[in-house]
Amino acid sequence: MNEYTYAENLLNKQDLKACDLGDKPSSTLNLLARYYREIGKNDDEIKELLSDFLNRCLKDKYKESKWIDSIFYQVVKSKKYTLKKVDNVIVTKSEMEIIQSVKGKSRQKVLFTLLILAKYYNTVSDKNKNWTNLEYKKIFKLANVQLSIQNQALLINDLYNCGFVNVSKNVGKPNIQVNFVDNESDAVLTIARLKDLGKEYLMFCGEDYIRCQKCGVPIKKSRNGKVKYCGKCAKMIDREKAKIRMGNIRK
Amino acid sequence: MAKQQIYQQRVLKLSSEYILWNKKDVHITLQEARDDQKLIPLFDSNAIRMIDIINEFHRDIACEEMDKLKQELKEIRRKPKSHENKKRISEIYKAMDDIQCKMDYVTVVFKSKEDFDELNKGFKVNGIEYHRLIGTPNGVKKSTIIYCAVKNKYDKFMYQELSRRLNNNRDETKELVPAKFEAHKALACSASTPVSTPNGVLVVDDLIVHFKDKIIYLNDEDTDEPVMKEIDNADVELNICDGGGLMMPSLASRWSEEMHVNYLMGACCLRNSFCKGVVSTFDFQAFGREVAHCDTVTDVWGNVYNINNIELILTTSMLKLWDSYSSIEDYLNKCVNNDFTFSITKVYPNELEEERNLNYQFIQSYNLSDEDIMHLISPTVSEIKDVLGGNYYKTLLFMKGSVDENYNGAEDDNVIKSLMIAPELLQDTYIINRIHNMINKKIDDAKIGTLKIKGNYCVVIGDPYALCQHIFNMDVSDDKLGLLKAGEIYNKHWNDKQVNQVVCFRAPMSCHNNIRKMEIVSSDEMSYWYQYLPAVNILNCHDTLCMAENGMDTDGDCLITTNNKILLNNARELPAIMCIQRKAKKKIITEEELIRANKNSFGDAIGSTTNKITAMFDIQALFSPDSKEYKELAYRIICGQLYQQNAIDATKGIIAKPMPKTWYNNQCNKILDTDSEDIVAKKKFYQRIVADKKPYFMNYIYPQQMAKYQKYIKNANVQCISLFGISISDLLKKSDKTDDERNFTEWYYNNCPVTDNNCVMNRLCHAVEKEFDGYVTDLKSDSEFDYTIMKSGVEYKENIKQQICEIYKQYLSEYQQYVISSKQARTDSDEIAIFKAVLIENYRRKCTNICPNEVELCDVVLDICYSKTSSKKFAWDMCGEQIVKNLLSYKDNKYTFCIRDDSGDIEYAGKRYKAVTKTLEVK
Repeated sequence: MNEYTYAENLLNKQDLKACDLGDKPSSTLNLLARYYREIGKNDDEIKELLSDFLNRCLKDKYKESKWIDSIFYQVVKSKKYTLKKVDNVIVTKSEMEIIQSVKGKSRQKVLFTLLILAKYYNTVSDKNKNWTNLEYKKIFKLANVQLSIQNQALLINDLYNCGFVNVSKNVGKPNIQVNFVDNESDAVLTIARLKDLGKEYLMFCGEDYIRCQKCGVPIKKSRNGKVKYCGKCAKMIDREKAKIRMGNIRK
Repeated sequence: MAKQQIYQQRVLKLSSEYILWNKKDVHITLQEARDDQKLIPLFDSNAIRMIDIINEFHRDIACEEMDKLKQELKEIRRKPKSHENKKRISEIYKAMDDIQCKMDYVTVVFKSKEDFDELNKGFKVNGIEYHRLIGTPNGVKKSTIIYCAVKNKYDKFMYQELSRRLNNNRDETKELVPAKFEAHKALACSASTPVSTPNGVLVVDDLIVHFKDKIIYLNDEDTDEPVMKEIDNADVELNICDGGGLMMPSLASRWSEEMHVNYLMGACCLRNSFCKGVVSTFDFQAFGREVAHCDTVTDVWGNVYNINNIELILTTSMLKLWDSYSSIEDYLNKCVNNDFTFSITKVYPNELEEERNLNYQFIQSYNLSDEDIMHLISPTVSEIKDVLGGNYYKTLLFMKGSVDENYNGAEDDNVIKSLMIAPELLQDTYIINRIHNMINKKIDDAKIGTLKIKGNYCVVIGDPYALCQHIFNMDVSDDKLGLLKAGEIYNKHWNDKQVNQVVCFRAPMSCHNNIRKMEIVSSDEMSYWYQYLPAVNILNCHDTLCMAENGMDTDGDCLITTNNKILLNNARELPAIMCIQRKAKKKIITEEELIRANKNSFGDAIGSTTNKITAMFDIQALFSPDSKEYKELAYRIICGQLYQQNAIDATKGIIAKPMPKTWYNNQCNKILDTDSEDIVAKKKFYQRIVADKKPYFMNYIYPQQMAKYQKYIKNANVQCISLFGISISDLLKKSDKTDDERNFTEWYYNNCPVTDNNCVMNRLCHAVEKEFDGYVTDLKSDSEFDYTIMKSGVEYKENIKQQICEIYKQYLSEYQQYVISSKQARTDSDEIAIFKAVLIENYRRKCTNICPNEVELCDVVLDICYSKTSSKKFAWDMCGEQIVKNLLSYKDNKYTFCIRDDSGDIEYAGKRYKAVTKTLEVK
């Protein structure tokens, strides 16, 4: 949610790996380029710092000549947008009551997600009036709702017909506006990251969810209550443990 | 075309960003350059030959050395692998690099004009300083400039010496147009093969003919929008031999031999210092004897020569800087002193092809009915449909076409050869995917008008008979010059087929005025005088064909001619367009002027101008031919030729107006509060006819536009469901729409990133789409395909496989990255071919360094690629030749191909063929 903090955390990481470049290395480079620009670096400095970051991530596999085009492009692009510095989004009581009044868990999760996104974009831009321009695919992924694109659109149509949302009439840009933002009511929930929003909602509603002890994402409580970590963290912890184990054996 | 007769040479190609990143001091090894695709092949040219001479590099010895090295490499690759062999292979590769790589010559691709200025202050590569040498016309369009080492590793002042030689001791006090001079000097960088000096060269004035004809005159000098005037009896001046000359059959015969072509060349494209053009074979000595009854001729300097001592006649439009020399002897002596030689860039064939592909520019201005369109696409469609059945022989015909009985496949691609040897390969997923890609490409090409028609693409020359009448100073009036009359051309190919009328096209073209119907004529006199010209279009000197074909000249320009009924019957006869001619200012040539000329030429605006005109055709389809809108668009389309001309002029430093923005940018037609009523009315009219989007069919040319279009359609659909609960297709069909629905439908069309009106090309595109909608091919993979038939069956060590596997992964990643970036950048096919060749060679070297034995290597790569579902391209690229050898030995050296036979049992694309199986003689 807070790009500034995200960039700082990434750069402060001790042992950077190729996976730290993320699924889209260009997005990561863009984020860092904007970060460096924000802290007062000039074009030449940004180029060198990005190259240094790539070198830290890719190590021996880093070939400067292969990345020059991309670095130059991101340096130019970084002038366009500043970093998004949003720490959290607050959901109020009246908003939550409206969401909970909607029939069906999937609808509720999607509406909750749309609300968070709209409020997030309101914070990013003063001009935004409760709109979100994220693709349906991404909205539903955030809402942890799996539906075909056709059914996603039909679900939005339901919410539209009930008056909870507006759909943009600018053809080709299916942006959604949330109609029930109420910042005046009491705060009931604070969301600090744009991930698994559907699960966050279910957790708030009292369903059997706990938080991963490492990263904090909501995870379904297991029957025996032994699960402490999300899948990703569990894998990493297993790997760390195996490393230590093998190290001990080799000693 | 003749093949290059020397080993391939390589030069560095660096980006300005890369040089600036390295603070103008680049250090790069050859292997690094090769790995980063920065070492590119370069064809031999006069400039490269000069570099070798300056460096005292003996080419003949180098050629012998290269042959020896290649032979030794071949032999080592057949031997069992050993440490010594590996070491020797590295040494051989290094020795080959030393011969092939020309480090004195570096090409730089510029990202911006600022980078160009910065690098012109000087930069170093591996410690050697470089200086701007030249920008070739094709290079500068792609913002690429050639640099030369100031002082090279042999302590030669290369830039100074090469630059001096390229100037060929011309009279430097003469004022010239810098951009033109740069282009003329760059002729020394054209890929060419040197040939012997002719025995006697004559330079004559161009033949300028005057006549009257109906034309459309466009002038944009004093107005924002061009003034178009139709003039019935305009004075037309035509240079009938613009860039064309003549050679004696004796010279043609000698040069044919030197170029290793097995026929007497009818025409070839010639180069020398400041000299460019097409010379055609014509017996001008016989002309002197039999027609002019004279054997003396006067050259452009006023010197008299005996024609029987002349073998080559150049015109002043060929020898661009003729007036910078005092005589032909002066010019030729200076050429000898500076190591310039006559060289040939292209030998034209002596037979023309039977079929040729159209492109959308030729079709878009026609008024074709749906039935006409179906007829036009049917040969292409039936050819593709035939191959969908998965029949082995039809697949062979699709991939290779028909060949003659003596075919031995030596020149062919390894996949095609292998398929001819082993039909089992039709079960191989790699082969199937390759065929699918070819089919898909062909279908997509058909959608953008790449349609097969009966016709040929052939070079044009001015009537050589008329040129000789001029050379011998015969007293013939302009209207009697030559053997051909207005509206006629001579083309032996069509004469032999007894075709008497064809329609002519030449790209780039913009409007129907660029299409001309011409009569094909022949007579005994023509057959006699044009006997050495079996495969050229000979133009008459009495009509506006050259003007109609967008300023065609005879320095190598080609025409597509076809007798296709649809195109011939629907061609309308319209006057040629004459655009106002502007002349660039002549100046004393300095380095600063040349740099400025290079900068002016960066980029290519002709393509974008042509696209805007294409867009206008689709908007025009919305209106009736009588409407004001239709007529205004017709005018704008005609003006397109002027703007194409202006885009070319801009590269010559001529200030010319670009197309008015109001024609293609609707923002410029925005109505302002301050606008008067007249202005508002004009803007509203302009808004209706603005061509601000590409037409639908162009989605198949621009993949990024296709992605944008598909995203729009998808978004509009989800938006429609979200708003109305029904899909966009249902909404469009719905008869009783609400106001909101009607509004949505209207904006759906307005916001669409392409226009999909009923222009000919959009209709043609939809017709092809309909033909192949959801096509399924019967070519299916068989999981049981046994790839071991391609193996040699030798044993190898597992560690070799692991090392090759690493290389395989690198290869895949590099290849995939390039495929993505080249699609986005719409890299041209030549550049892609160069990339592939360089990539394959580099990885072959890497593989050979690990496993020098080619038989063993073949088995290793096949096991890597074929034991998994991942890409098999690597196996074919690295070991294609060995796979062919293995398959030949598996099939007792037998291979099959198809030949034309009217009683054959294979029917493909409307013709009959028969299969022939032969045994290859193994030496």
